[in-house]
Amino acid sequence: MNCHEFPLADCVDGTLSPADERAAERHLEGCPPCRALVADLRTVRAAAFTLDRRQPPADLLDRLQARLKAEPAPRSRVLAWPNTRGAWAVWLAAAATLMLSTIVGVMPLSRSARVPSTPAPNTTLEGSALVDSVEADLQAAESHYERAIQGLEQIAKTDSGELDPQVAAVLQKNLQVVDQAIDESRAALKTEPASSRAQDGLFEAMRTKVALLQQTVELINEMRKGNQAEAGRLMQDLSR
Amino acid sequence: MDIRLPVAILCAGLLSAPLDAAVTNRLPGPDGTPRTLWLERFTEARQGPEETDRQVQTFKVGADGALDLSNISGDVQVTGGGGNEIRIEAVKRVRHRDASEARRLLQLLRVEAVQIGGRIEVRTLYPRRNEQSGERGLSARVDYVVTVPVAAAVAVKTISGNAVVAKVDGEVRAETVSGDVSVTATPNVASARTVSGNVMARDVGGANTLSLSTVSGTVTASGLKARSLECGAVSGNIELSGIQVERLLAKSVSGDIEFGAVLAKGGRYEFGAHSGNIRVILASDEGFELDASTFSGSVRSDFPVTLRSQAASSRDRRDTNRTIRGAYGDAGAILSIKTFSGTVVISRK
Repeated sequence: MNCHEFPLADCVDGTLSPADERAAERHLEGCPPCRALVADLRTVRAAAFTLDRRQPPADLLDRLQARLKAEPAPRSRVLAWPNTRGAWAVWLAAAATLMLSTIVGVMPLSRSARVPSTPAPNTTLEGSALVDSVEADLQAAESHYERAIQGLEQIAKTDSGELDPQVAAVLQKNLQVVDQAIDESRAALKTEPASSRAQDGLFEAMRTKVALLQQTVELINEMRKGNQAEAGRLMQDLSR
Repeated sequence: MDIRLPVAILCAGLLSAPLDAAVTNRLPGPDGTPRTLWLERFTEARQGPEETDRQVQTFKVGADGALDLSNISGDVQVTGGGGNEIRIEAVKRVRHRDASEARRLLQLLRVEAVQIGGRIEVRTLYPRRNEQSGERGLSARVDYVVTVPVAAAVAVKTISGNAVVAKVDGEVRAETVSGDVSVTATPNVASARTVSGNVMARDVGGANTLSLSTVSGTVTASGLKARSLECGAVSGNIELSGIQVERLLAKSVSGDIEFGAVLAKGGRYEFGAHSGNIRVILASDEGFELDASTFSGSVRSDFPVTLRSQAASSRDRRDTNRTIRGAYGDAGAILSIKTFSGTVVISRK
């Protein structure tokens, strides 16, 4: 099984037959990009399912569908429309993560295959175009990551009041650590644009930020669930 | 200017603290340091003396029962023991300036334990906060001490507090958000996770993939035996010693990673850090294929690795210190190590 044959959606959804599951596990063991992608999507999926149910504005679906129609979208497995606003946000972030992770997963292979580690003495026009193309791909991957991060940051900022202030401070501090890693990697890429190590560092840091934000969203939802449970139990009013 | 008000409140709180009550109502923390005593007095001055209520419940579950415990604030300690019972000791603790109010709140703070077949579900139920009363949150916690049959499966989760599981043979999952997680002498750990705190695993195993993670603390594992291990931290360190795994994925951003173990033939070991340093300590007779690189740090191997491709082809002399790709011995295991600015060292035991 190669990366193209890997049944990503079924693996994340847990709907594989036992035989297919074993084959998928074998592939994941030897394929870090797919493993990271599956881990990311499982986290996002778990976060999406822990969101509480809220009714979206009546025109939200129409507006989203109109926007999606206006944008060129890759063909993919059809997922059930989520019916909560929070779930929408997380699923959109998941979609962005999926796209960028796929690109990032394939990127090292394509890069190593296409970009020579030592530039040829006589760089041809064709080679130059190839490098431009790779750079464009990398920029696209980076922007996908940025979109995923923005989506998750939006959720995290909106609902961060659900978190204990100390925990929120720890998460904030560590997000800053990751931001610093991202900044350092970007600076390195400026000085050495062709460095695969700098590119790896940037994408790894961005992947870490996505994971940390996912964890933050998961925590927020855990807290929210706790509050709902309290409300539902009709506890006696403290002031009486 | 910004700190004057908090300092003034702090001083007023300390001056108004009932000192004798502070000393007699509750013992100091385990360390008994002046800082602990000071915090105790400060808490008492702010929130009033502590009222406690201890409850014990016992359930017959059979040898392969299961415990699913969810707490909000407080420590959870689970130990495997003999017998077919799950015994739950819960100590509720509430602080309030008004002692009668504290006792009333203590009644409202409930521990709910439900038996479903051989599984016991334990939940801590907090009274709903009254926004209109100006109550700014309830200072309440429940500490659990639980014994389960040795073969029981255990899942514990707390938000603020430590989770400790020991001597349990069934599958163990232990999580907290703010606090430490410790698993000891448990051969089937699935996960031990926290956000702000340390994760400690000692003499443990895992049937499938064992996951140890924190955001800001340290992950420490020793005497661990599992097929697959995943360790993660952001600003914390990862320290792995005396472990036996066939697959390892250890990642940190700014924390250091140290790995000391015997490599399995056919094993795969991946390490990644941004600014953290990575140190792999190996016995001298282990063969491995090495792919180690860093952007601006350095890579050093004490083992005479036969280079597959390195900068020796050598357009850039700096790369000799930043990349090593090659094999040592029978190349029986795969070592993949990447940092951005950290140092990579592969050294002998």
